[in-house]
Amino acid sequence: MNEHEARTGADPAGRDRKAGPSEQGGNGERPQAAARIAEEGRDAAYLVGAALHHLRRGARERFEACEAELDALLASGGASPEELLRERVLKGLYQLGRFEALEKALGPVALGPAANDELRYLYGQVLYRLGRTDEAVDVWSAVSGDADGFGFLRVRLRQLREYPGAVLGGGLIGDEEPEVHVLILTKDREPYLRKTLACLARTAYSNYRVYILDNGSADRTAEVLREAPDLLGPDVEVFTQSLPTNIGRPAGHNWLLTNWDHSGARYLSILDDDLLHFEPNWLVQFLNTFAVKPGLAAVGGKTVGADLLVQDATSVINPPAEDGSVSFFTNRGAFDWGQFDYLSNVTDYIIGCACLFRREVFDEVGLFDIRFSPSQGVDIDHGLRMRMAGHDLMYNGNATFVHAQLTSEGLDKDLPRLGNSRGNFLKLGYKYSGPDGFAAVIRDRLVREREFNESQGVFTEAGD
Amino acid sequence: MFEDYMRIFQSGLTGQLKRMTNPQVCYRLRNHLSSFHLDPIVGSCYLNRLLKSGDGFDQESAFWGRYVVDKFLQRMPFEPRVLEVGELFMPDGPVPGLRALVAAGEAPQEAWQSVPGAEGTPEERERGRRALAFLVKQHPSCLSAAQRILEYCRRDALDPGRYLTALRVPAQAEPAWRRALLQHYAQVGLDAKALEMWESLGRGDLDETTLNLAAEVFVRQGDRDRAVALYERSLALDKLQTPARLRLAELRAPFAPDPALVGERKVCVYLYTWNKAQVFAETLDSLSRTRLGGARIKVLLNGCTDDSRAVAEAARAKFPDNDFEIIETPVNIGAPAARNWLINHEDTWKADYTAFLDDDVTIQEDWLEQFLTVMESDQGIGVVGAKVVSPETPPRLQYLYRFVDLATDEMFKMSLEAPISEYDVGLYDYVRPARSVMGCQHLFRTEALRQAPQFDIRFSPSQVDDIEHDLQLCLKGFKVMYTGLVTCIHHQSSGVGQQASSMTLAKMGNALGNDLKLCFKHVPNQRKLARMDGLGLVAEHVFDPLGEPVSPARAGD
Repeated sequence: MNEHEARTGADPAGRDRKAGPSEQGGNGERPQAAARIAEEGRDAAYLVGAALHHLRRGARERFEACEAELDALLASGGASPEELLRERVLKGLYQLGRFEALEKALGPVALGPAANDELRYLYGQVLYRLGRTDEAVDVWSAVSGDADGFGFLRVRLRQLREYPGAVLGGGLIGDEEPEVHVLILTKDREPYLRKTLACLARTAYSNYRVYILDNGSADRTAEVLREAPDLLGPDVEVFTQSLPTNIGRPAGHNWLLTNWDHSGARYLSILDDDLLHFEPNWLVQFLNTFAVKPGLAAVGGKTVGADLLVQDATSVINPPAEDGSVSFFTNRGAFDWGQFDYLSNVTDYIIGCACLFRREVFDEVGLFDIRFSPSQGVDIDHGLRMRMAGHDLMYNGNATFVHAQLTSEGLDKDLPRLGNSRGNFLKLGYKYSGPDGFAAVIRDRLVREREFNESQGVFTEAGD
Repeated sequence: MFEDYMRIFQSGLTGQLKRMTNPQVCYRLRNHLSSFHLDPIVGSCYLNRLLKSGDGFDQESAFWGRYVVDKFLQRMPFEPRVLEVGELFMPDGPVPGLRALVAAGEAPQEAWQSVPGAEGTPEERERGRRALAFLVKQHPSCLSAAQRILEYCRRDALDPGRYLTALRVPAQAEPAWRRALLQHYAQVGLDAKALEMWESLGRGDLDETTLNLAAEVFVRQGDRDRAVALYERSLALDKLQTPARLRLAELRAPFAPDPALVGERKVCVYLYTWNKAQVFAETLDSLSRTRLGGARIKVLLNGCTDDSRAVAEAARAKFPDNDFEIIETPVNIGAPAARNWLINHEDTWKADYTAFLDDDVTIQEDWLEQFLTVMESDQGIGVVGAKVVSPETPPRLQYLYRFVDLATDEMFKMSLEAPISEYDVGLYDYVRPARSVMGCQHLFRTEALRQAPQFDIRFSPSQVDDIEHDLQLCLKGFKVMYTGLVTCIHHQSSGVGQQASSMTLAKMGNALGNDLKLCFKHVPNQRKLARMDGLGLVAEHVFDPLGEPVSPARAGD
């Protein structure tokens, strides 16, 4: 059990949690027998399964070898459309981002007479991921409006029309780039930090500075800090510092927030040090989100694992349990077919590993609470405090962050760490046990949820 | 598992004892007694449990039942319900007579209704005392009310005289009443009156609880020989009193600190503080008046936004012989991280020993030589701590030492840190091993810090981190020593507040959360921790009542 696992199924957007064409698909099929593979060569099903297997285990070279073989197979036309459309293969290709191949295989079926809403949606989603937004919208418009589980699609289509800047992140709304400071706290994640910085370096934005705090790392993080200016390029100012000891996540973020002068920044972003991938337009998406609804305090993205299983997508709290501890519903474990790619202020808090704050928010609600050291619950506590102070927050699921989330890995089997996590959620439960605490947050969320559902994801002043 | 933990944890001592078998209860009691004299609060928890022995009284639980009743009645001789139980256990002594006297003088039920409990505010207790005094006026022989007056006065360290003017003590109850008064005066620091009572008591009227308290009165009078004699008599009455045995040993052969060590050993003294400028100034002032030799002092200002910086700068001049370094962090990083920050300083590894001091303490002039002398007595000692008391007069025991109380499949719990709600009258002035000492004034051997260099930041902002670090040391085989001859006055209790406001609920959650973290962090060490009980520490001082040899092997019962 970890912090993101839910006990109940509160569903803020009113959508069906089983949404997604092949969610019910099992992983029961095993890779084909070795004999068959030796005879016929490795097929797409095998290669997809093996690639994902190696990806999950971090066996990079073997993963890349499978990928290369798969790409060669796809390029040579050696895999039939029928084979690619087998549920397991289709899902795997989607996880591996092989959208061109999917487009070719799906197109004839999704546009043909045998198509159903699931196939139509998925084909549209593949087109959307290929950047062919207009075609995607055309295909999606054929998804029947009353089909079960596609409530989210109505919201997405509506928001594409209303808020293209925040959804697509194509260009900044407004003439001048506001100054953004990106804060990264890191500890012993040298290879991951490199990936995070490589993604950050591709950010389609010029007016940002990067602050990296090394929280007492024992690995080669110091090297990355030295190389950071080169990794991020000459246009980005980089500030780094290494601490002699690990001060934990909340104190580390507080250090980042207070040790440097951020008064020139209009927005402050916090990024985790183990983000494996995000798109260059993430910051424009986030900044444009602030234009969606005036007065937002913060915006957060969607986090998924490398296997596209959701970690956090619209996060809500559950009422405290009998022992006083609190739990959450974050859609964790759902396969990300795009069903969470929308804007929503229903969320009780935003995920702390990829978010953007109005700078003044920290003056108003304070810094992060060090009782949640070394981690677990830090951003939730801060998000709840923003809510309790009357601020509105926005989830933007169109900005997807692939997150290693090493802090949760193996948590359920590691009693000391599990105890830390449960201890923090007990602390959190007690901290807001009063009538102005969780009860008020949940009550207010139900109001936002109703408004969101009524307006199909269009944000009006009425709710303010 | 967690759910069980929370239920057991929140049920307190009473709830925990309920779940235990008779042998487990007796073992836990003996563990407690190997550390502390039995106070009435802890005593009543055990008594209630032993009286509800579902499987009947075996020999061992019958022995301890009688033992606890006896101890309780020595402190509270006129408690009607305990007297009833006492009569069952001790039908031949004075108990049946006392019970009859108390019953005869008892006020009717309705007379008690306007008496508030003893646990409230001082104002509520004052109302209670007045109500009780009125009750005694109506019922002059109501000994249970007189005893309540003593307890309500003890809580506020008052002379009970003015509330007892109407009391008429029956002649047969007179020795018991005088013992109670002597104990009262001795506890609240009214030594002259205690001595008066002492003179009025016959030699045969004395129980061990009274003898121990009287002995400490004589220590304060400078009459150590007399104190030794009284402790000897006390132990002749009950040889199971480990603290009395340790105290007697100390009185016979007082611990002799070696002042030269302060100049001979390299010591670092580390402090960290967060926005307590005023009391921090007093702490530094107190430190400057102690004998430090050439100790290197480092002060970490933990994200202070008040005058702490100026306080630290101004204090520099008070330490002309010491390197005095000020470290500032931009934010509060919490106690464990602050400690680690300081430990990570290269000077730590150049020193022989490193002390940590809280930012709100008043310390004793010779603390360092005392600690160093203890340290040098055994290379296996990892940490040495002090006797921590409250700043009141007389001071209350805040924190003595702990041992592992429970380490089972469903629970890991450290013992109480001191008897509940007792004054510091000298009963614990000795040096002894423990499993954990208070983190507000303690000294580490450098090798111990090398092997356990981290206070765990999961216990941020504070609480438990020092206990858990001591456990790390125990698990690495280091000894932990309590030095009751060094008194540390701690100006602020960091414990959980008793009031149920939402503010303290948040604090309570922090404490509960940290306790849960402690428990589960050490699940993998459960077997080793089970051996870190109290009995195993002072085996030579513990006598088995049933005549069987005591061995640490019984710890796993």
